[in-house]
Amino acid sequence: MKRIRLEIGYLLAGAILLLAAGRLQSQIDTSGLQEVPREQLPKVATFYWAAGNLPPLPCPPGDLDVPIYALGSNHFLIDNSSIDSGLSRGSSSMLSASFPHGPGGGDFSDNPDTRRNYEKFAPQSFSVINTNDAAANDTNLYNFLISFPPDTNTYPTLQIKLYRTNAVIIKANHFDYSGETVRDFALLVCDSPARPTWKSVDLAGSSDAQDGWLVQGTVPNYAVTDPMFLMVSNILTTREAVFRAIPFGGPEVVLSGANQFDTVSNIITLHAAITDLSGTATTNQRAVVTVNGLPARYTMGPSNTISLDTRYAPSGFQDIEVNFGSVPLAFDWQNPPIVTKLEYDTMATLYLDFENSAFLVNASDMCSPNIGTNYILFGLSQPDTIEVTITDPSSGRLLATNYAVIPSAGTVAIPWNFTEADGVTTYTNDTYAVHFIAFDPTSLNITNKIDRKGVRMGEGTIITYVEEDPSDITGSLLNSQADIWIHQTLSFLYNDIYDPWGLTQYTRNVGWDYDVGYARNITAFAIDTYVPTTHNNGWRQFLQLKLGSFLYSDATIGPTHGSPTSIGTFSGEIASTRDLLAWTSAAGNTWRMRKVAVWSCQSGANGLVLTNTAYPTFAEAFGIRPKALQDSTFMMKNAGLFWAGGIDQGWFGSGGSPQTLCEAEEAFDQMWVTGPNSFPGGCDPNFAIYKALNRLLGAYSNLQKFNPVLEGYWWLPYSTIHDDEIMGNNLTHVK
Amino acid sequence: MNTLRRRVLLAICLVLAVVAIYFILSKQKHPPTISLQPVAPQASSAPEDTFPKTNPFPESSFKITNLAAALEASEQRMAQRRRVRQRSSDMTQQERAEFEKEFNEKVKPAVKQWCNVYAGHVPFRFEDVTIEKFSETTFPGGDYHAYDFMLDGVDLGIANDHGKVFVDYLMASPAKQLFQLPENPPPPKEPSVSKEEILRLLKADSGKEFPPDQIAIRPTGISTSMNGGVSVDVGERVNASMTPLPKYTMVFGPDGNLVCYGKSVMQ
Repeated sequence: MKRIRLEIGYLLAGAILLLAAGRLQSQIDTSGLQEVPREQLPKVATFYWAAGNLPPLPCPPGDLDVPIYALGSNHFLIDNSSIDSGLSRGSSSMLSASFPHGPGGGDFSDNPDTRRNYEKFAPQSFSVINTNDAAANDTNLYNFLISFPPDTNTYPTLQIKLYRTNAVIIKANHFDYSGETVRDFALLVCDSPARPTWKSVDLAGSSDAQDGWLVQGTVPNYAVTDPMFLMVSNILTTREAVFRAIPFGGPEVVLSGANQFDTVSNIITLHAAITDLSGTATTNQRAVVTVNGLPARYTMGPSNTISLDTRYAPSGFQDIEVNFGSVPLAFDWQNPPIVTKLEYDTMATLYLDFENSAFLVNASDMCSPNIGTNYILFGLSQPDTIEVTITDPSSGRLLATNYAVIPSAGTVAIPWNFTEADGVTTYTNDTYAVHFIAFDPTSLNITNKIDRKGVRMGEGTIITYVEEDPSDITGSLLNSQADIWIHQTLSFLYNDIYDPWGLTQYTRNVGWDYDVGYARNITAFAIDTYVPTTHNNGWRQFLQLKLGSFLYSDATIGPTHGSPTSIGTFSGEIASTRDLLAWTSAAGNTWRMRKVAVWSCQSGANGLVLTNTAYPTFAEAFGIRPKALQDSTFMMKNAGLFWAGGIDQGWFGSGGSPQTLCEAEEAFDQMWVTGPNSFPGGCDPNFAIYKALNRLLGAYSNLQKFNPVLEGYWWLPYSTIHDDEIMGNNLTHVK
Repeated sequence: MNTLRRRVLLAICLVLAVVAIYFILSKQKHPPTISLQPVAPQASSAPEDTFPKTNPFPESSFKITNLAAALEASEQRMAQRRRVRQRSSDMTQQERAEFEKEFNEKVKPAVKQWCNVYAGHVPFRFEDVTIEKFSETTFPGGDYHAYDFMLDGVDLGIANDHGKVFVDYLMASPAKQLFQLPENPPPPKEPSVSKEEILRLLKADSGKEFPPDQIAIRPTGISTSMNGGVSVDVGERVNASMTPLPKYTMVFGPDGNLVCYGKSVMQ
């Protein structure tokens, strides 16, 4: 982490002075001061806040109906003591800086902008200025950075200056995030400093009336330096904008209505108290309830009341998860920014003892019809008589029925072989309904999907990365290293996979008897080349062609820039997760990829909101389902590696030697592809993908802080010989 | 007439031959080739994503100032240290001597301790973990490195993370059943290992009690060909999608023996 040394030639001025004054003003008593009517206030003056550590404003507060008192010498006091300043939830490093009017200024109250802050601030973009880069390549910017007045405080402060015509640069001083592991440095933006930072969220929508603070941008806790220079560009100087820095880890959810380890039965009522930034709205928020990671039977009522039917989960201690997702950033949803975390998900859990006389043990939803017979499991806590019917939910047509006397408590397995009532004719619809009656009495109804979307038979690998600016020194190094490790080494590894005298020592035997599967030595390679003027290099078409082909079951993508919704480069081409899903699923029925590794920032940070509105997660785009689901039904297994945090493309190892991400990327694939018995015929099976990642994180410990996410079935080996066999109904190795 | 008929027949035969050759070729499996990228303009109707006007990389992002020096340093480091795997047969005498010392002083005690914790569930005999069964080193020579032993179908991995030595991986041959879907399987059996026993083992291994919401226990018979086993995952948000790497993960087979075991380096 580099730090800069600034030559500062003059003393305090601007925002830092305002900040200091603001802190003093919080102690002022308003009694005896003369209130000034709003229409008599000057448009340019200094307005101090009576409460909260808020910076003074250079103009009257825009839309705040509070008393304002004259202090003399063109100084005024805003009595905001009756308003929640929202400061109670932050840490000591929370401070504010207000964006001053641009040249010419303007009275914001003349033409109040009634749009939500989501919309107002959507055009603004945030970036962290690389001071070394500025020093080397942008003299004007560098001179501007060193023109900030020196900061003599020891506590965290923000300084702000207008940069050019439509940007501000904020200098963040003395922010220490070395002790933070979850929360990041967040620069918030709002149209008024008086709005509370946080609010209680009502998922029914009543909390939407409160507008307020949103995240302008974040800096990962490990990347916070003292000082930092932050740029907010594309601003409108005729609009009021106020900035504040806080440690931010997302919304908070607290569950009530039951205590941990309580025994519950039938339908229980829980309440979720949700706290989020004040500028958020339920259009960009979502809550989902699961039990043990699987879909739960529940309804969400007023005031975030959750009615959960516990009979649709096994008896005994179960984990109730309330997952809440929020997008607290303002951005253009049609063009989401890259290298930016957009969504924050929080999960609150309750561990309760479910006790019911009859209950669902496992729905076995999303089962592959390839297995022949699926089992839907119900539980009984006493002897009972049961009746089960399976029907076509679209017509009510009976598919199967049974009636039995169960002599003792236990699990009842209901078999169904995906056929019509004759037991022979294949059932062709994609859903079926199961109606279970226990005469105690209990009646349970579930509707299952049939998973006709299988995983591709293991074959070739798609390999791609983005090219950095070749005229930049660092870009040149990254390009050369990517060429060595990704283009040459990784491609060769796969192309030479059947070389009995090579690294893997796998062999190509007769027929289907390959060590690791058929046609694993095929690769498709492309670079998202650096074309900053045309943004046109054929990369998207390459991805579309290759992802849509069954020749390829695996993909190693990166290093690339990215976000929760896209990968690529702003100097080349970009593909969104919508594109990737469309291209991958175009391959046909068994379209899901077998293994994917996406080495980009936040490729594992998409969540409930973005997934269900505009963009699938990267895992969904490649057909990789969560471990909990893959563990709960008979479906083909696959896995993917993603990164929930921002990732650096390189770092300096011991002795100052540069290490690059592409080197680690190649090592991961090499670990996974090669096996413990690296002799001909000795692969039975390879290492699990969990082991490859775990050992990689040990050797490249820098990667740990980038929050790796391993989605899917983490015991998955590279070898496909067994899943190939089973797809061909060859059960030779099923023991 | 006969000549004309012969010519017609010959032409038909030629056409049939061409069709047959085309059919055969089209049915042939694809040759292993490297496909190069097309450079045609993109034709997708998907929206073009935004192109930020400023450098979005944080201050901490990787930056160098001397390319030649960086390349030289990188090459030196790679020449000296960069290996992902090293087979036992490829070790030098000095490397083997160092390994044998570490094996006796650190590796074997760590394996013994682990075997004691999982007594009754270990699919190999501790006595079988010998230098002769050593297979390979992962990331040899680094502050973090790991060893693998092949014990009659069982891959046993031991990591040395900056001097802290622990069993980090196990996979036994019955694991292949985890990657298979059964055909018309029997009803799922009860798990071979009870929840109480799993919690006891977990506490003995980790030395702490994990919150219940960080432990996921599922029978393997509801999702794989391994009927009667049990899958255990331990870690934060372990039931969620897009989970962090679990701190512990294991599968017990129908006989109660471990089939898979993993301990994360991120504890």
